[in-house]
Amino acid sequence: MDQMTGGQALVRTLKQYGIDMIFGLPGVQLDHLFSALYDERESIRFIHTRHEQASAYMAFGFAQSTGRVSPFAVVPGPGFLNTTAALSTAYACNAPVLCISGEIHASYIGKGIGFLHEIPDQLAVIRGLTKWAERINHPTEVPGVVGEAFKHLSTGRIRPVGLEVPMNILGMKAPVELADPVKDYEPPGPDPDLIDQAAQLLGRAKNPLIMVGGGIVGAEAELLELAEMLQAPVVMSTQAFGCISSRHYLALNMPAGYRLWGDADVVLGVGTRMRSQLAGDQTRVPPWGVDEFLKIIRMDIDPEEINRVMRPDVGILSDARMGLGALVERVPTHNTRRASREEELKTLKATVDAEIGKLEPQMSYVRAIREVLPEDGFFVEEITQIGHVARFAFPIYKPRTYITSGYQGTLGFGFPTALGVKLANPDKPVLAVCGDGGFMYNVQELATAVLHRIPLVTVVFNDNAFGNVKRTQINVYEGKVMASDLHNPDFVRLAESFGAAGTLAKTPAELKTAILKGFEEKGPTLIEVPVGEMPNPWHFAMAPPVRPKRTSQS
Amino acid sequence: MTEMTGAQAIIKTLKKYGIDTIFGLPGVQLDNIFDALYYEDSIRIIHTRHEQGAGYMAFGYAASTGKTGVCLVVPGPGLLNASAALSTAYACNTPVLVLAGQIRSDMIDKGIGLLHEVPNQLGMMESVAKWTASAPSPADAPALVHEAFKQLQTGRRRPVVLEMAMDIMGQKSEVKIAERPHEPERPEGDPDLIEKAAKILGNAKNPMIYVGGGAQDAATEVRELAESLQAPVNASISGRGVISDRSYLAQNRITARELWDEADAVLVVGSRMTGPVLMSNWPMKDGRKIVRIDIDPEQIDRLLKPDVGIIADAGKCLNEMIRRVEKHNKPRQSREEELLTAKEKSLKTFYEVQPLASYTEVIRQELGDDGIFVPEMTQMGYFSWVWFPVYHPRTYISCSYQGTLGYGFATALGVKVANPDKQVISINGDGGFLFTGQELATAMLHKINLVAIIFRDNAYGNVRKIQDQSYGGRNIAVELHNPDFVKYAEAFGAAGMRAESPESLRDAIRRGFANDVPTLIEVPMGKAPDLRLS
Ligand SMILES: Cc1ncc(C[n+]2csc(CCOP(=O)(O)OP(=O)(O)O)c2C)c(N)n1
Ligand SMILES: Cc1ncc(C[n+]2csc(CCOP(=O)(O)OP(=O)(O)O)c2C)c(N)n1
Ligand SMILES: [Mg+2]
Ligand SMILES: [Mg+2]
Repeated sequence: MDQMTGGQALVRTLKQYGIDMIFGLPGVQLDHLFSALYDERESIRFIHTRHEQASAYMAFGFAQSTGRVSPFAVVPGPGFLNTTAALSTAYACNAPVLCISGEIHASYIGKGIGFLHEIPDQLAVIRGLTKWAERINHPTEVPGVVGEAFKHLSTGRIRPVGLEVPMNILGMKAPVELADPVKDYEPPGPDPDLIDQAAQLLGRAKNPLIMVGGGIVGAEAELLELAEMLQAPVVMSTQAFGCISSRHYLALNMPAGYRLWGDADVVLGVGTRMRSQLAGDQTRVPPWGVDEFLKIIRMDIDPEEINRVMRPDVGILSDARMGLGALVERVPTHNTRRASREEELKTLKATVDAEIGKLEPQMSYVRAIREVLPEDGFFVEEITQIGHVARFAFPIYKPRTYITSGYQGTLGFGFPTALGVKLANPDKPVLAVCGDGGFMYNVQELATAVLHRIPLVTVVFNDNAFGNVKRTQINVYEGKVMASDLHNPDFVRLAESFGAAGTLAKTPAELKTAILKGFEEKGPTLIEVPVGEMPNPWHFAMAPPVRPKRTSQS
Repeated sequence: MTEMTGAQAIIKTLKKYGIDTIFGLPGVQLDNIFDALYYEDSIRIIHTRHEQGAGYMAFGYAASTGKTGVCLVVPGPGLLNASAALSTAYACNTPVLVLAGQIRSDMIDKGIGLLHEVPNQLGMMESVAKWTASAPSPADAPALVHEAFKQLQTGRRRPVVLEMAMDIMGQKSEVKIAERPHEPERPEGDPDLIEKAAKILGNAKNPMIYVGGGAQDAATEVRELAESLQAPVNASISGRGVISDRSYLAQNRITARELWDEADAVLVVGSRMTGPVLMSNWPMKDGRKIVRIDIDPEQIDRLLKPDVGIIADAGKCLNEMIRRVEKHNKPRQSREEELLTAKEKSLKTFYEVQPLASYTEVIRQELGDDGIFVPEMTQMGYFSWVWFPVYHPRTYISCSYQGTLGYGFATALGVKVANPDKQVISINGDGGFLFTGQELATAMLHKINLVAIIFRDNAYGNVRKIQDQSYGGRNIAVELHNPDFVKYAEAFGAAGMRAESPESLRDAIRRGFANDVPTLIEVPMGKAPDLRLS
């Protein structure tokens, strides 16, 4: 057994699990961890950021775009707290982010003396934002606890996991036995009886519909096969974008799916919360609705999710790939002969796209970006007008290439998340769209992008406002505009002050040129697009219920 | 009783407490409360570019005035974004009231995954706040706001969080806005204990006083007692300014260390004593009597057991003690000459630390006596803990033991909003400044004209120093690429300047104070020398 510090044990164990990049920001409680990272600097790239929030967002971007575990390391107290909004985002998006937080000297924890960076019960906060979190109490515990962390990061519903390590444990030397990493876990397969029930319902359905969410990733082939044999349209949440190429006639966005919801007789939901359909929104927009003519099948890795809002007719606890694989085998026994719906669905898609296409100027920009972003390029949205529209108008061709903050709706996540995406995918173009409001949340990371030469292209749509807030104040609150007008830097000069490339683009055509030029750069590019007030896109996302169905008389 | 929304119920009750400023950032769960604020001309809204900015500004507002600072944020990521500012206010015993949105009330904790939903939002806030509550209806809001203020004003002052779900904010019902209750009681202390303490201090040959943040509102009393005892006063970082450094009685950490050895009685007012006891290991001495005054019963015997421990408000208790010390006090000669000489001598150490000492002198000379100084977690900031003279309470705004890198600039903006007629200087490292660098836009929009200085060494200098000294120079994750801060400032429309010497810094500060926009001054720095802090 080798003598090593807790820090060395941690870094070597992470390396065993294939970790080759870690994000973070140093500080005194982590000194021994960084010393160990220095030793491994050839095999683990360390990216230090200018604010801990960005360390965590970058890990989030890395994880979302690859499906691989991505760690970040920060000092306790304010350092950790600075990452909490990013952790809540990773939690909402089921991303395998590993939070490594320092902690004060173990013997003083909980005493309230007030050591540097001390907060009461830090572990409770970490636990609140993760699926599982534990403190490492001794260097010898490292292999076991890290193994447990990776188990949680690799099984069940994927969500962030936390480790807290007191500073003296990171520095303490002890004989540590590194264990072989466990990497392959057998995911839970479906109950065959339930598969049979589901197959019967689906096979006999006249108008089957498939809804998919983030849980679908990894089961794309099975999904396509099932959808084709059923001629069932697949309605994708943003988290699922790309599981079937937008070019495919069966691949639908939410507004198109909405039009089919009323006529569906069997719905299969896979790895999705089905919030819009079953629960509605907190702004009192009701759900699309259900009734006795609609059978619901749900397949999910998380048992809580299956029954959360209502009990489905068939609830299948399963890994999506295995569950869909079983359906693909079983459905043909029950399936009716089905004519291709290609023409009908293509028409539907064209109709919906044409309606959305009228949203201007948003759509011209969305189209311009899609035209220059290669098929395998990554698109990172934000909580901004172009981002909102992208959710139902940006064609996506490959899984994991559309990155969102999910239901967390975290303003400011986009730019640093995109930096993480780019670091994880150095050979693919990555583009982030931001509002002026959201971009400034992490403007400091322009320095990180220049230092680490991250050639990300970021487009800031500048309306000098928290535009979404302002529009609500105008439309809903009788024009009582407050706290939503902004003063901004000149973004081009701002970029240049960092040594990044800055460009102004005033039209979609200019934007295309600027993006293409940005993709050629060795470092980051910031493109400012001045815009004015934009029309409300939300009616596409929040439409009135279509079920229960009205009878023909009423 | 009047019909009003939940949002109005909160705002109308806040007004009873004289709240005149709210720092916040809007979003859908707050639409109703911003609408309610639209009609309140007496409340200024400062909207920021990141919720952390709103948190730090509320902190700076509160720390520099002793009044409650209010911060308004959306739930989930919005509130979490403010959490490091809250942990800072918690460490600094600063009264910050957080008003947080929450998702629709009937959907809380169902895990459906609604915009900004996080599990157990208030539970997490317990690690950064003293008290948390959720207002279940408009009618309940006034009582909860009253309770929030009671918590903010009694005992140890720390942040509180009050949340209200978005539908309750918009819901109308009959609400009674009660008048503000009487000022909450601040305990005066047990007279018998005060008598005992007075005897100890009055009879002591070499009494000494150590003050922490808990003494910030008792400056007059501390000075009076110190004068009557001819007791030197040393302040923790949070206690800086309680005694003016112009007084011969005010001693710095270096001179206090020697005075400590001869002290036969020590009065500790509102301090945790971590500096002397834990960090610097000042030796204990048999027979030395310790008197502690603290508002927090948990604090009174932590780290240093007192012979007399008095749970009390510092000012009230000291007033009584002054009266009683008179009876017991020895005749005392002025120690002015001796103490001034000691201080004078220690300045030799100060001047050895260059160029930090010269920069410190220039800043102190240019910042008016009542100007407010906000240090950061940077070399110049650490140096200032001991060596920056402070002349008035609440004019030196530190982050205490939280050591929050990046708190400084945004905190200083809140300080300036609260003290528009005073000069405010914020100093920063290149690392710390960018943590809240976006708020330069807020400073421009709301015309918050402070002077911020950035000491730029292109490094997380302190971390590099430790790697150099204790890890064989194996530098990792410390090298920084920076913007050109002059151009950075100019991109925002602010004034940007570069100063490469103490005298050019003086000139830049003068121009900065004359500016009608915020000013950023970049000062290039090499590796910092040993800071000689003890
Ligand atoms: C952390 C966080 N704080 C606040 C909000 C509320 N919010 C949603 S959109 C928005 C305005 C965004 O402004 P900008 O980024 O400029 O985009 P625009 O709507 O102007 O295109 C705000 C403040 C949020 N979603 N997340
Ligand atoms: C929130 C937070 N993160 C990390 C740290 C650890 N830390 C302390 S000082 C420091 C470097 C600060 O660099 P800079 O602001 O440039 O000041 P310098 O030491 O270079 O003067 C760091 C990273 C901290 N104190 N707080
Ligand atoms: Mg905007
Ligand atoms: Mg520095």
